[in-house]
Amino acid sequence: MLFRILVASLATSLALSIATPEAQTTFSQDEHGRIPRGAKFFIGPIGSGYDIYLAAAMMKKEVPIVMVTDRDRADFELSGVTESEKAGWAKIVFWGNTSSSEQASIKVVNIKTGTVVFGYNVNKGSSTRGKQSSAEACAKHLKEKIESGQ
Amino acid sequence: MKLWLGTTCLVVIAAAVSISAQSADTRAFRPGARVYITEMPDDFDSFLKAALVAKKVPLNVVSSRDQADFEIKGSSETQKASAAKKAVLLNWHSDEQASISVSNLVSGEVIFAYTANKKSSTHGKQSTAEACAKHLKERLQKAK
Repeated sequence: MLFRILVASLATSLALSIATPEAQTTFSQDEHGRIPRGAKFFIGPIGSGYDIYLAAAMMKKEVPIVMVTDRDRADFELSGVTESEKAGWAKIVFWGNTSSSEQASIKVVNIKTGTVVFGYNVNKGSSTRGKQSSAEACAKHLKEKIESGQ
Repeated sequence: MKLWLGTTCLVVIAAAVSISAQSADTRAFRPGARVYITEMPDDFDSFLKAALVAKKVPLNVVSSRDQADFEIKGSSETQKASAAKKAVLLNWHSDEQASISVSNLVSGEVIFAYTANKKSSTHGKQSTAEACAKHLKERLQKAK
């Protein structure tokens, strides 16, 4: 009898794992603006390919999210804007500084509820690594937000 | 009889799980994976293809997206040396930045991404492309 129950429960769990592979990765989305670890993020196209810089920054900073290329599979959408300004001649002549100025702004929206759960602006007057620096600043703060659990 | 049926059912399900795991495994990002490189600004895709060959990255680059398991997207930006940089710093080299991401075409998951930034790049786009290729190769070697 015990063996039959064991077999039945094993079969049910295996059948469930085949039928609904995404059931393991689903989570309850918090209504209070929390971003759970392992949440699926879609990064929308941002000017100058900044979305790809952001994806790389998320990887480098080990932000605990899963990035997907299909919005329908995502729980959250990240969108933003960015602007770069090359070093002018005066900056180069007087300061010997060729670094660009970078600014970027991102926001994260819960796709189901439409709530903005995170927003961040970054401004680098003399960005050592251009867009990479601003993207990594955004990723770092997003990671803090997720890890804080707030 | 019921016990026999239950055991058979369990074996069949276990086999199905095993087959499903194997088919997913063949799409894993490892040496020999088929990748499609999308068009990128400033023809950075051409530089990247050349860099993958130069750095001997063990990937099969295909010309059609339908034949691929993975897709590489990217962005690149070049900033030529300004007159002031040439006159004051006596430096003619451009500043380069590029970023690539690799996504699984089946699951849609981004599995690798990397940004390269080269101040006064000696070989222009080639330098950033080869940096991306080098790190992609490292990622593949870890997956072995």
